[in-house]
Amino acid sequence: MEQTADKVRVRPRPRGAAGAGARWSKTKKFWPLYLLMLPGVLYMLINNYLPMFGIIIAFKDINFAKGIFGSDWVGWRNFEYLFKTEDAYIITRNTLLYNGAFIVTHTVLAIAFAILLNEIRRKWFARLYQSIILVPYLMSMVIVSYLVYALLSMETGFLNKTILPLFGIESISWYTETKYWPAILTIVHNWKGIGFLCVIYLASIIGIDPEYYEAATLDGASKRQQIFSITIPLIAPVVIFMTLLAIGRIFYSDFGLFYQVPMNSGPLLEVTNVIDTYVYRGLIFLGDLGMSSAAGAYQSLVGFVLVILSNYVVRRVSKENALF
Amino acid sequence: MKKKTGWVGALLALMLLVSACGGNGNSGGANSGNGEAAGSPTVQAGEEPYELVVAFFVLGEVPGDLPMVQEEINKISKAKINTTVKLLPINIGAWKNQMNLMMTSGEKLDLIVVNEYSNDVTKGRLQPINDLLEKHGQGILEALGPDYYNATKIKGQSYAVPSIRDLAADYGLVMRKDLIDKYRIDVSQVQTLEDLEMVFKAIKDNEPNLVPITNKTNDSVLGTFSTRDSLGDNFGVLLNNGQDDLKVVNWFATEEYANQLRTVRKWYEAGYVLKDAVQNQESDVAMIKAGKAASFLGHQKPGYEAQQSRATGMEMVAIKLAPAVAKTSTVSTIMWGVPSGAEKPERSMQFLNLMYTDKDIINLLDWGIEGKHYVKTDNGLIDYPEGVNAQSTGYGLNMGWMFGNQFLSHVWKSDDPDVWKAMDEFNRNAVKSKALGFNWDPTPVKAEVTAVYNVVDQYRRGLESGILDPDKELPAFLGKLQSAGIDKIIAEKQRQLDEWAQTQE
Repeated sequence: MEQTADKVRVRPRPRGAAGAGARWSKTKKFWPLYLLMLPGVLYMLINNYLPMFGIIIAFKDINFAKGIFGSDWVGWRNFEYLFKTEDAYIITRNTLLYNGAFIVTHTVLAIAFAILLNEIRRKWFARLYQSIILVPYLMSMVIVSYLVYALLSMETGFLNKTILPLFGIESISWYTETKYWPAILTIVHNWKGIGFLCVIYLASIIGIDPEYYEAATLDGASKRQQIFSITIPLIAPVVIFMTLLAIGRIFYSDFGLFYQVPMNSGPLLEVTNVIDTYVYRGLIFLGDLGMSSAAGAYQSLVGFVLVILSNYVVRRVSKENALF
Repeated sequence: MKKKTGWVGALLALMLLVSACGGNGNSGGANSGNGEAAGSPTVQAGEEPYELVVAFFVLGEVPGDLPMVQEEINKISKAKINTTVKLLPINIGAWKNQMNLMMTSGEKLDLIVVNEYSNDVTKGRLQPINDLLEKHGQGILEALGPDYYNATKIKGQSYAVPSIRDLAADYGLVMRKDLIDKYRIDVSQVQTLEDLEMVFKAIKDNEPNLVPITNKTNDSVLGTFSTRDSLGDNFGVLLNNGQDDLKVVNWFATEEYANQLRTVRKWYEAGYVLKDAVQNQESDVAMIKAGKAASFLGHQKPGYEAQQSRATGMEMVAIKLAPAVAKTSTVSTIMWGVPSGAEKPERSMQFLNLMYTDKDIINLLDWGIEGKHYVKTDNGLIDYPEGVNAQSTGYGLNMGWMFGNQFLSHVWKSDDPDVWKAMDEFNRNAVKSKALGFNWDPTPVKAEVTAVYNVVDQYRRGLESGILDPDKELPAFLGKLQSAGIDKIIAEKQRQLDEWAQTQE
């Protein structure tokens, strides 16, 4: 495509306004391509940009009789509840720490699994394992929550009724003890999500040119050296890309994980309440459109800033790996 | 040249596609609005046919025969008020969102079920209907009676009317009858929460594998049991069902609440309470049906025993522990209102009037079509027709409490034939809270309300199920409520209540 563009540029121009003429001839040349782009642009405009005007709802006291535009402006009042109480600290802390921990464990484990899967000689087994670790990803969180419940319930739980008695340990009231839950939630999250990320990394590992490995083997590099000197550096762009995407969503939390899996158990709120569940709990009764929009606006704004920041950092370290 | 036409064609096709997508919504809306008017120009002016969109929520699946029932309703309403209806059932899970969307986007809605009265009014979702009621809704006013009608007024204006059903509630335990008979439990001795201990003890001693009491569905063990007027959300209540004065107090800080918690804690420590009560997701009825639990606490009404017996498949007994009271919350759970965007509110009101007065329409909505979904038995009660049962019926909505005047509907075979008479008396004789008719508007303190809801979610279910020790956790709970701003909520509520009380004199 660049070649054709050059050709256009060197072609002798008709007399008249030179710049405009060039632009026009370029447009003329490529208009079928622009046309091809049009549906995509329209879709983006309608689906991603048009709804953005809804952000004004966050600053309004919505009244259905007056409509969205006619409702009264209330300034930052809809945002107050996100910052005012001491819960604000807890939910922000929980959201950030959990998501931070998730990003790290998720990435490390997914890369590890992808490398292990890649090393399996029999492709048939590799495919079987891959499918098995992908299965939890396809499950609904509600089902996952009952699987966890089957393990942890006081009356019927597998751990309390079968495993713990084996070691002579007394039943643990899992759903009222806060100290176990950071670990439980991290395990569940990784168990559920790792298959998908692993498939992505595996795909990029498979895409690595085998010649690198052949050369390394000839030079006597061990498997470990190959992994750390060839595989990981070569999939680094994909890892950075996926991590940046995850950072952009660091202020959003998996509602199912934090609400369904602890079975909405009150005594655990100290360690399970995150921004999404806090907003849900407060607004299921109030049903205030303005306040829920405010929460959404706050989350996406922080996500946006964080993506810009982390991309900036990536660009400082290695320019070619940055997103933009 | 030929190539060019190809591109132009593609462009045209694209434009067509885009405009078709955009146009669809509009033309659809316009059609449903006046599609019928064009068809029959012979009717007199002011009496032209009109189609109402009537939205309500359903708890289970939408019955397959609903269109058939709608057709039958339309035959009657067409003849009486030259109006037809389009029933719009929405699953309860999607109800709130769907209503918000439909109203913000200005979709056609003429009559809706209201289950958050105060909120809907402050958000401007409903239009005032005093005049309409006087003019077209005399049947509604008559069925409702002045007390309950007044309870709907916010600043002198009524925006919705409750369906005629149980408008008050009494409270107590519902329990398997076979256990009471088997272990000779003397129910007449049980007057208060504390007295329940001996009932639970008898069960625990004799049936070690049966949990004596389970939690109310999605609630604590104390559940909806109440001796107070919650004034909407329990953050600031009137004690003694609002019989004494209009002093708003923090319920969670009262001695009465602490005593209730200590009682439940005692039950828990004695092993009477379901250990998983905090996170149990199974419904109370399912627990009893599965033979895992014997009883649960909650609000009741006339005919409650029969209803629960039917649901659990076992004979149940209700033990009353608190008297019948009418409060704003018991009245405003299910109401009918006219959305602010309705085009012909007088038609909405005329149809609503039929829902409170026309026996045929009510029975169609409640039970379906006679002969197909139900048949009359010899004694005037109704039952499934031959070969039809609860699973196979095409209209198993079972939501008579929603559609207008339930007292005009047929009585099901397993119910008390006089159940509606009993319920009418129940409504009339129920004690009325002094704040009946006060509708709390939490918007001025909504940040605090959100925070308090989260604190309550953290502690209430654990405390009220005995799993958390009240001596240790109740003070922590109260401290957190304080810092979440419950005092500010109570002060605002007191202010609104005083203001309301002045308009009542």
